[in-house]
Amino acid sequence: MTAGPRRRFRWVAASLLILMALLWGVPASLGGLYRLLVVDQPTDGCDRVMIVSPSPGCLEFAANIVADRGTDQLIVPGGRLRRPERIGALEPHYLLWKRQLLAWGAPEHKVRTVATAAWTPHELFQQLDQQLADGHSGKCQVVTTATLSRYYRLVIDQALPEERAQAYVITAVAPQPADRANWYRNRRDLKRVFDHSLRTLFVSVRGPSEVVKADPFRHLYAALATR
Amino acid sequence: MTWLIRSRRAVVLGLVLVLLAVAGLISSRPRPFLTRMGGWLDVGESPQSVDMVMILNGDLDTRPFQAIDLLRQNLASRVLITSSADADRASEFPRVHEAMRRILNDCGVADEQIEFMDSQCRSTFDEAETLQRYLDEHPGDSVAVVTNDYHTRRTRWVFQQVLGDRRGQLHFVSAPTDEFNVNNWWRHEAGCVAYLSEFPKFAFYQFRYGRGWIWLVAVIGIIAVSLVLWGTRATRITEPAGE
Repeated sequence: MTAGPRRRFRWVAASLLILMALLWGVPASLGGLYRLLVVDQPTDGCDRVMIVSPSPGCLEFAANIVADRGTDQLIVPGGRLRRPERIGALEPHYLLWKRQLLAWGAPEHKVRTVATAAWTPHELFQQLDQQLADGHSGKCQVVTTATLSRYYRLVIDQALPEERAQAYVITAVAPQPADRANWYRNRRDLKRVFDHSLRTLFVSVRGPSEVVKADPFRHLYAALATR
Repeated sequence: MTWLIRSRRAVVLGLVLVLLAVAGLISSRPRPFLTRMGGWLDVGESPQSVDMVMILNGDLDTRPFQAIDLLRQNLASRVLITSSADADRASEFPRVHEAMRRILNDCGVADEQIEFMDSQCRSTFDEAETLQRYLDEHPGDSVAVVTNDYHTRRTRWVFQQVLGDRRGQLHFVSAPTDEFNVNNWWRHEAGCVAYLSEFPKFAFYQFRYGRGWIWLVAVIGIIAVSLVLWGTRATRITEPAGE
């Protein structure tokens, strides 16, 4: 084979190899990305469950745990109220979560809402831990969407001292119908995984967010109050 | 042959130096670059008098309040809201348009002032099509589209794509975002997600709803032709004389 045809053969062979690598490698890589975002820890020693993701799947999962395992408490945390909640137009988000849990059969006496003034997830866990520690020795099972599970593990580890952070165990709940094998096949799950990947990356690199605690609609409240 | 190898090395070296220079410039003064990058997304206009304010589905913390501010300034008297296909919602949670209506009512906007279109929107593109249907019934209306500041560029592009000749009836108003802004979005988790995700979404919209794929095919074609010509010239140089 002369130099010209040999070079062309090499180009064709290289192109075919690259194509095959893409066809096999891309789905494998995307599945690998999903696995990177997921942390699912053993729940031995947990006598409390905490919801941090309000997806229907997570809420139902938590309600079933409390009903099946006889867990002592189901904690529903609340961060800083959003503007519609502060002006009374909408119910506080943690009360909505509680109502949904009760609708799915969680016993009311076991559901405990814990309100905080936290602006960020780091502040939320710090304030929650202060309220929940109160001499309690058991572990708390933190239920979250699968693609946010590593994110919350990082947040807890950054926000709390090591011995307190170990008292929180992460449980990952896969959102339906997305899972490791097919999350990139529809736009909604693609967007969700992209957003969660960015959040996880941000927390792992920067840690807590810097928050601008100014209200751009402060001027509106006085006008609304006088109407 | 030697000059060809040297010229290829020169091209690669030049590209590497350019990339290093750009990276160095950005890393030495990141803040102005990131502020400009975020500011590019905000194409919001100064509020002006319009017939209708359309609130895009999404951030209930700020978008409805920006619309309420426009009504309070007598720049508009009516509000248009649309339904969204929020399939992930738990049954006890209000639907987005229901929550929007409650916020508007609680802030003094009467039901008669609120126009609702049940369009099951899944995207900004769907909302643009909904507005097109509204303007088919109200052809002379001017509309202020309210959305978050970082969302306005993509919104303006897709609304102008869908509405075509009616783009003169549209105005785009930025709603500020709580906790972060164009000067610090990279230091806030939600800010990073909001701003960084806008760029691939905008690129996707260019391909999905615009002519982005034509540009991509053209660029790939130019690169392919250049590679073939470069390879052909190299083959001619390396082949011995007389073949």
